[in-house]
Amino acid sequence: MNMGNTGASQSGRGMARHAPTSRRGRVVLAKPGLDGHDRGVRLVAQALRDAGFEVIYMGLFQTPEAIAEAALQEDADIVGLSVLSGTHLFYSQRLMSLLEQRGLRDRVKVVVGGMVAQKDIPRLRELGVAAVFPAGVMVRDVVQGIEAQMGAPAP
Amino acid sequence: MSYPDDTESLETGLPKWHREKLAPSLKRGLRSGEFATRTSRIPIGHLYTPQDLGAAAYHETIGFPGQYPYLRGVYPTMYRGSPWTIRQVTGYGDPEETNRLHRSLLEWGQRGFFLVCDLSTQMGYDPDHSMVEAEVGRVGVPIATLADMEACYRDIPIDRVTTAFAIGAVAPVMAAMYIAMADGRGLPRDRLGGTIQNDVLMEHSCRNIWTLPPGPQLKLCLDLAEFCVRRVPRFHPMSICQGQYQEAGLSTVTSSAFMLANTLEYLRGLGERGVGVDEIAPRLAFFTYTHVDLFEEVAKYRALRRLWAHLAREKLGAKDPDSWAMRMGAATGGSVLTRQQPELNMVRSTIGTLASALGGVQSLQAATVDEAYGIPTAQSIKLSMRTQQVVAEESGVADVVDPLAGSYYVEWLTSETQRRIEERLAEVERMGGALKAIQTGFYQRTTVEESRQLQGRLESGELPVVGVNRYVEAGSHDIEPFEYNPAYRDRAIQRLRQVREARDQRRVEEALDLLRAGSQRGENLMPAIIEAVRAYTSVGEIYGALRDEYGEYRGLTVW
Repeated sequence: MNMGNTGASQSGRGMARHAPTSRRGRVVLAKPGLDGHDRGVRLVAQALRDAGFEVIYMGLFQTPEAIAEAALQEDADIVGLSVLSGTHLFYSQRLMSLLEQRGLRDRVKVVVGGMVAQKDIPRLRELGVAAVFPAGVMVRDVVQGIEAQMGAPAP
Repeated sequence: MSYPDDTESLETGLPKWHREKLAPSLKRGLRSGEFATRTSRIPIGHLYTPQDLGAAAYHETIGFPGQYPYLRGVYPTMYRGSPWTIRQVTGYGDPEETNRLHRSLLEWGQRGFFLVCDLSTQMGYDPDHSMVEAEVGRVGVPIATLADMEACYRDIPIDRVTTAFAIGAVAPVMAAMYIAMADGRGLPRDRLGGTIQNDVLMEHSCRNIWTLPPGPQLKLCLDLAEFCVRRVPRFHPMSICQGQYQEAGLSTVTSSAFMLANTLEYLRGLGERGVGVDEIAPRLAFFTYTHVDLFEEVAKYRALRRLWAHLAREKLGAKDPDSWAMRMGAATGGSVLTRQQPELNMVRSTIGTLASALGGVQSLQAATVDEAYGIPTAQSIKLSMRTQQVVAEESGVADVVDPLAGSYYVEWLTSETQRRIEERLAEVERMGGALKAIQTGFYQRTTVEESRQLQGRLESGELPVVGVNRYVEAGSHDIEPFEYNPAYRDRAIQRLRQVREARDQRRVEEALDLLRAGSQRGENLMPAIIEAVRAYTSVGEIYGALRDEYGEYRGLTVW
């Protein structure tokens, strides 16, 4: 598995983070806004951890600002938003521009999971979201999708 | 409780049948996979006979409807008196739209509403708060002040329809608004009916809706219950939830046990305030979800009623038979619906409707065909409502009381389910009760574990879901979900601004001072909250004051 993030040396990643558990990459997961449905994101967090990713699940009620900050501080390869309240376009757009402001747009890939209507998937892709996992996909497919992102070029 | 004449033939006949008929057939094999109930994994035997009914007497274990142990239903006539209340969800982008839906539902023949507020309201924020920019009017109706509540119910006869409120952590404020609205219409408080969810232990441990730390949140919840018991006697001030736990991935058994443990916690708290079990228990409502294993769900409902009757009478010492009767409002589960081949969701909802009716619930919301995509459209709500009407009026299920009673399998499964719920409940009680079990993360860890197992079974194909891990069809099956209108937020802010300009600001300040003083003195805050909403103080202003007093809560993240 490709390490994905080519900026490892200048990003200040400590050697400890290259221990076997983190070899596949660092994923920050968060639930933005007030949506409390966290059954899916917790399952994804566990599965990614089991697959060898280093997972930082920020929990509920996160602001886009806090998520962007965590992406920077945690030197994330992937940021995953879980949204089941229909607010995915709003929060994705907000997050993408905050990542841009922090110069992370090309280093961090954003993925979105949750109750996403089919017609919103192209809209999310246009915003720069690398992958969308609508409710109903298998957790193993989410893990595979994220693994694939680790090796793929920026969208 | 067997059939006396048959005992002998059964004792000799069953082993003989096993030997001579079953064994040779088994050599040809059964279908692969395990036979067990869908969520609780209770192993299911090949065949049930009178031998599985146990030795206890009929009147003790099964009995008659409308009396202890209430296994067969809470009322003697059940649906022969009147079918369950059809209670489809309402609560749309704004109060005016919600009011239009309320009127349509009345016209279509519905007599009960199920009002859902948006998340900003549910968590005690006004529509102009920075945290809720994307949330206003998104998954329900924003109700910031009494004016919004009044708009939802314009020209709706609230003395003739009842509403169940799904309003998260702000139950005391929403109830206060409903009461203030009734006062304003001159409706005596003792004629005001309805049900308010007000289940903070569930909100804190499952649905993740909170405004204050668990302790103060529980205090406010009990304030509302105590106030209603004394002042609004027809109102159900608590609807204690099993369903949300099941939706979060817990089994029917564990979710039922958590609901009962929460109930015991509330009753202990009210008992400390001098509210006797026979004052509160007859006013309790319970809220459940029905998934798709018909027999598992029927057994759950019947087991819950019998177990509650036992707990109320024997453990809590309730003397009033109304205290022993568990009244349940139900919904068919949204978590069992699929994006794939979404039309099948109506079949799942129909099975859920049938199971709920066979289980003897008092009201029902049937999930809509589009719920795996977003919140329902008016058309999909109508389809669910008509589905319920078909089940209620065509299927014959409403023509006899407790039709599945006496089925060897159903009675056995009911008893087995009850036994397992009792075990789980005892486990929580040994930890010191629900509040402790939630504060230490036991509920949350159990949810993580059980939901993970469930997902594993889904992904391995062990748990069959048509269209997902069976009979999969390529291509997308998208349907048009409800479309959110960003103007909802602008309009909500506009309405709030108008209310703030028109109201007597000094009265608002005084009401908030009263609220702060009351919370410092540890008083029941309902009178102060009612005064505040009557002065058109907003939800956000009231919870702002309460957050100042009690602090904010960030929650417990367990995964």
